[in-house]
Amino acid sequence: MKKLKVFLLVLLLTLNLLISSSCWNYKEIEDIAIVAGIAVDYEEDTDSIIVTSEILYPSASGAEIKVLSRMITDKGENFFDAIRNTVSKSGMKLFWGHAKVIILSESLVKNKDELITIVDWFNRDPEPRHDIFLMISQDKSPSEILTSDIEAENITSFYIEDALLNESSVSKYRAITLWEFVTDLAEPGISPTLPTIKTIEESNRLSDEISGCGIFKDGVLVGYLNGIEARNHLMIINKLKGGLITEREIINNEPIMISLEIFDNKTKITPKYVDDKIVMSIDVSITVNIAEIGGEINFIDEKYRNILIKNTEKEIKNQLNGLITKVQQQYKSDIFGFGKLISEKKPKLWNQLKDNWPENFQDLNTEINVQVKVRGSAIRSKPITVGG
Amino acid sequence: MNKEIISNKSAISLIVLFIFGSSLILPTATDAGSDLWISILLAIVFTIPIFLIYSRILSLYPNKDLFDILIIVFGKWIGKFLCLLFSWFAFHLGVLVLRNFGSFIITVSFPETPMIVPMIFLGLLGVWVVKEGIEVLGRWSWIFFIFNAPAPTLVTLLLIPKMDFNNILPLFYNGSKAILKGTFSAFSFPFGEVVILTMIFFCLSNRKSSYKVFLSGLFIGGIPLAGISLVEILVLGPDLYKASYFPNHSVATKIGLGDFLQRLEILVLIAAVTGGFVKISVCLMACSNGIAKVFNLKDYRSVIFPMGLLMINFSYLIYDNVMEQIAWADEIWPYYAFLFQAILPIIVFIIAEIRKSSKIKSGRNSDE
Amino acid sequence: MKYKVTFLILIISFSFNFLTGCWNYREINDFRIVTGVAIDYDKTNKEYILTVEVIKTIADENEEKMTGETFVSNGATIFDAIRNTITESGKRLYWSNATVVIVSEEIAKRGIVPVLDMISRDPEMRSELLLLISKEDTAREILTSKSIAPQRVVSYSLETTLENEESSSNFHRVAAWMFIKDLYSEVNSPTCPGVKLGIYDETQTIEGTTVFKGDKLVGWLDKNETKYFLWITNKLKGGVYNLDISHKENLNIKELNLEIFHNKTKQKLKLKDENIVIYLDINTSGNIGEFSGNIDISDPDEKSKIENIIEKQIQRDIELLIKKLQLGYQSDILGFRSIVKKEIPDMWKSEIKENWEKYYSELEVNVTVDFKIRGSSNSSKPIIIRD
Repeated sequence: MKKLKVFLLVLLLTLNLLISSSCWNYKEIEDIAIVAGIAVDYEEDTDSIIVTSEILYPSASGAEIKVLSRMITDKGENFFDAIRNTVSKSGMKLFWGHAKVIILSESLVKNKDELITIVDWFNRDPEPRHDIFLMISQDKSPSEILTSDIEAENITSFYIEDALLNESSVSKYRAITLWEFVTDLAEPGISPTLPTIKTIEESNRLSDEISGCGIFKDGVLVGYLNGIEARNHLMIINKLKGGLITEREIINNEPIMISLEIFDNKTKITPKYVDDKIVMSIDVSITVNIAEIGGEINFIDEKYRNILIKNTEKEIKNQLNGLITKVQQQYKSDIFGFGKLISEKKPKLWNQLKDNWPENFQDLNTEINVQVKVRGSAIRSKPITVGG
Repeated sequence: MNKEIISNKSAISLIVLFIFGSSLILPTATDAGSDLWISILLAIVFTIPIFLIYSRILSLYPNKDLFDILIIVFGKWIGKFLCLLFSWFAFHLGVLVLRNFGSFIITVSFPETPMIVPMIFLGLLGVWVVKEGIEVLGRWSWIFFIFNAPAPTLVTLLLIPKMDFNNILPLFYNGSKAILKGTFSAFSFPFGEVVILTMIFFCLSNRKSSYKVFLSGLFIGGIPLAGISLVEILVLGPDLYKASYFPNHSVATKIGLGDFLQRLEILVLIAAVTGGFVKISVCLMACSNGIAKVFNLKDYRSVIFPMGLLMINFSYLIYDNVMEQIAWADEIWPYYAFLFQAILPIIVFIIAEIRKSSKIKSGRNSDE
Repeated sequence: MKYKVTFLILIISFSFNFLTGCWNYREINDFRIVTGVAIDYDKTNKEYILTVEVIKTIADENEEKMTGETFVSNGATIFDAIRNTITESGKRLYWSNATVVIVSEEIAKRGIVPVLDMISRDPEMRSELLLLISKEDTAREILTSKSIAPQRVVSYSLETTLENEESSSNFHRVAAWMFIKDLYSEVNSPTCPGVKLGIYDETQTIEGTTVFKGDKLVGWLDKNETKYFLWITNKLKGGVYNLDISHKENLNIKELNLEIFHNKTKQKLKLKDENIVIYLDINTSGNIGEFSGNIDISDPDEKSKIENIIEKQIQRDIELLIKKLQLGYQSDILGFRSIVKKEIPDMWKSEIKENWEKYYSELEVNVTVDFKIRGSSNSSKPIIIRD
């Protein structure tokens, strides 16, 4: 009896090992091509999708093993077709578990169907992660973005991901993951944005720069915002976590540039309905340090500091007003989530407005209040002044 | 209350670390410009009589702290009122020091950390050590003192190549008025603040201890302080010194010996934080003690935790930014503090002496 | 009782978490380690162009070599440009190992204060960065030029050269904070060395000294004038001094090179009827490096004759430089104001400070040089040519 028990136990354990460690689905690492990032382009005339993938492979040199990357480009009728074609080219099936970025070309994001199929594939397939980053390429051929000459970084997709993770230090773009994009697409009171990336060339070297974002309406790209506008957008949606504001003051006919480092931002938006008009009351509060004074005037002492604060508040208010108006009239897309806010705070009102939201969005007014609080001035209490 | 006694050396280390506490991060006596080290030395001289007064008050009533003495000397009502005032002073000083350290730590090392985080930890640790009693605090300050003692000498020696003697010449360039202003300022920060210690020195070993303790503390703390300020002026020059929020830190970053001995500012930071910790703990103990005496509580230990939490809260709320901190410290503190550091103690001293001599007289009379 | 233990453990773990700066923790892999930075200004776009050199480690066979790579970014201010590097390089910059900052001549001429504020004010930057002004069109080309092996990092080779100031004395190294200290000062004018690229081999040469008036660059001292500058300000510690005396004194010497060992300059001031007279008392000793001619050094008479010639030459060169600074640039980088403030502070405060330009252009300098030949290297007799 005991022997039988032991035998059954061993049998159970072995079966367990086989099944629960997914032996049936095992993949040898040499048989798969690990994708670090892809660039997807849409060719209108041929109605085909071109996919460039950056594949990782280990390379041993001496005692070291380095991870390098290479590019595979494939064409197909649609996205799924294109990536399956890579198997015939590379001999390996693509593994998406480590993919960090998806770069979509401008032509692609202007075509709603193609965009949706690709986003849907990534959303549906279990292998890619939902926190993969999406971006729009402003270049003619997005595959160039993945080939950069920077030697300090072997794998372009990884350093693009680094830049996106460090969004809070620059705040001139907003990093969007797949799931955030899909959520905002589906949500009625808000339209998504995606950061833009382009190649730049300097000293005979290709690298990439991320700045600004693209605005979507109804799932299609309708326009772009530059870096500062993207920062203001972050401010309005209360997602600004760092970055800086540069302010130009003119004292005694001398222009002085001042950098204010942003440490904290709280934006509170209250929707109001006054005289049949929607008014969004936006209260912005920013905490900054005076990080740099480009001249000899003492903006740290009360007298000029108050001037600096007032001017900055005015400037930010103007920029925010300008941004909201521009988006309302030119792009007519609610990227600020005003609709979503109304649905949360005034649901009855939202029920009236939601069917016609794009038009209602254009008509709404805003009341903006900006408060800038200066926390300190790093380690110096005075600007550099020339003594003799 | 238990009978606690601290040794002289613990008491002296308490005073020394108290003096060094925030002076290691903030500038002192900036009005005197390049002569500020002279102001500090002069302030030491002018503080001697004040410290003698503190010592005398304590030695007249051995094993009693300032609060007990106030109640004895002034009677119940006025005495308790004065105790409350002094407790407030201790509390306020603790709040200011905690704030100074919070803003120093986040400005210099951790800019993205919210200021309340280091303040909570300094505050809570202070609460813990005060609950353990003054003996423990005394012994810790002795250890800190030993550990930090070589720092000033080391810093001075390593900075010699970067010093420029022209920075302090000619002496007395800014005139005697500036030096006197600086002296007054150096008295109110840091020397006069030692009055807080009278509020907890019920525990000195014998009558004569208070003199030894206060005067030794003054010299052992004050002279190196003057020395370090001198080094700072020699390296940075008076203009850069005035333009820095934390001149000691700025100077410490300049230490370097070849390729390997760099970034020694960490030693200065350790000395500063340990000194500040002792200062905050002493202030906390003093105000808890005072509150306990005013409200006739059995033991000051019960009030420590709430006082500590209040201190942390206050330190977060009192200023909006660094500039207000500096403005208060430069413009208002010296005069406000003078009341507690000099005027009130002198009044107490006079009245205590009068009472003593009248007691002797009446004692003699009753003998006859 | 057991609560105490748990409480203790809680506090200790909290302390580890918070007191060690965990809120602000940064992994070193998340950073690009900066070794040097160059700053230029783009007039058309009104932006600063920042070039940072960062380290990239290359594992090559069995060695790990450090090489530098540059990133360029633009910004409305220096702070803006620094943050904008993230959009290109992906990671934040780490400044603690940075050694040099190179500023373009154009910025220096317009006024250098705007680019220096950040270096002084930000706690992450090191104000011990060594300051250099680029003599080329831009500062950037210095960092992107080739670096000499084995140092593959341009900034580090610049730093090594600057550390060896004493052997050549063609330049005087200045840390950014000392430059800023002199800007603030009412008695000193700041200076810093210049760097240029060689014509043939694209490597960097550090040479010369800038003359600043206020915070604006007004002129340069070449490598020889730098030596006289170091002489006057008692900062000379070595170097090679060339004498051109072929036309002098009817001697049979055409060229003479001195290796300077030691120098001490004493500065004194005397007032002569409302005029300032500065006395420079220079004591230098050195070795004869090389000379061509017919003089025998081991002979004491000949030796003192040579010493005299040298002394006169040094005196003349120094006086020429002082005149050039007084009348040409009108900038007191020699620290004469410092002597005035030290010795006659009352007069300095009341009259001279306000009218320094007038006093400076009119002051007299009295130079006395005492030079001693310590030896003549290996041979005391000249090379004799007999046909």
